[in-house]
Amino acid sequence: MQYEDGKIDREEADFLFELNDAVSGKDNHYSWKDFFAKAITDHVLKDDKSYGTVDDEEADYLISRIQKDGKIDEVEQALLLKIIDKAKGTCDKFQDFVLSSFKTLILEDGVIDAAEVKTIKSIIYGAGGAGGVKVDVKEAEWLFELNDAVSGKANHESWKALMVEAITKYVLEDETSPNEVDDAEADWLVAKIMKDGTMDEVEKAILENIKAKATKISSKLDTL
Amino acid sequence: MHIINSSDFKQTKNKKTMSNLDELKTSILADGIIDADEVRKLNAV
Repeated sequence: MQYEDGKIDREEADFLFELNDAVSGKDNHYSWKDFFAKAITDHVLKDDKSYGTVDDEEADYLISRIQKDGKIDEVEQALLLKIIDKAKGTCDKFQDFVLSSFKTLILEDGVIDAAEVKTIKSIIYGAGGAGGVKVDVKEAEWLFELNDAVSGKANHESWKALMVEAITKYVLEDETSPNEVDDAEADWLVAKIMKDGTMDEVEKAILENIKAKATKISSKLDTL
Repeated sequence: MHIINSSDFKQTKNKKTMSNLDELKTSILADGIIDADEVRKLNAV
């Protein structure tokens, strides 16, 4: 659609959303999902006003169109992940929508499987995510919320590995105190780990990894 | 002679494109699913 100029205008984007709502959940050809995700991603990223990024107006548009039929189907999920992957940056509104939507979707069955771990990884490490390719506080807190919800369940083993890797990155790969756990980070870790009253095996592994890698650790972490 | 400016051209093009899309939408919704050929047509509109 209009790919001779590489752009999808708003009228065409509306058309594609209407089409997707009409065929949502049906046995569509797999190429539809790829086509839709690419076309709408191009619509929001290849514009003159905010090239490469999702601004507030685009976030409002995406959120209203995606929520229009009351569900976020797999085609729309692919769209959100594509934007997170391709965008140079996104506004808070869009990031919050992605984190909250995927939290609901991921926690639907109460456990985190291998495919969901891959999805979570692409959200937190995507250039268009909250912290860009780094893990920021919003994403780190989101990870702990997910973990608290599935703590002790039969999650895929890669979940623990991702949690350990991502939270260690968040705590140690910061500009304020690189490779160290400062007082503020220690307070934050204690609050997150003990939020549900217990330290599960994932949280224990996070703590062990951070303690093993940090060059300096605040005494506030001694409470754990 | 009527000289078509770029705005006229774009509007004419958009009307034509949307007309093609509407035809395609009718065709797609006739069976309720999107097949590979219809995705190819969407790409080409």
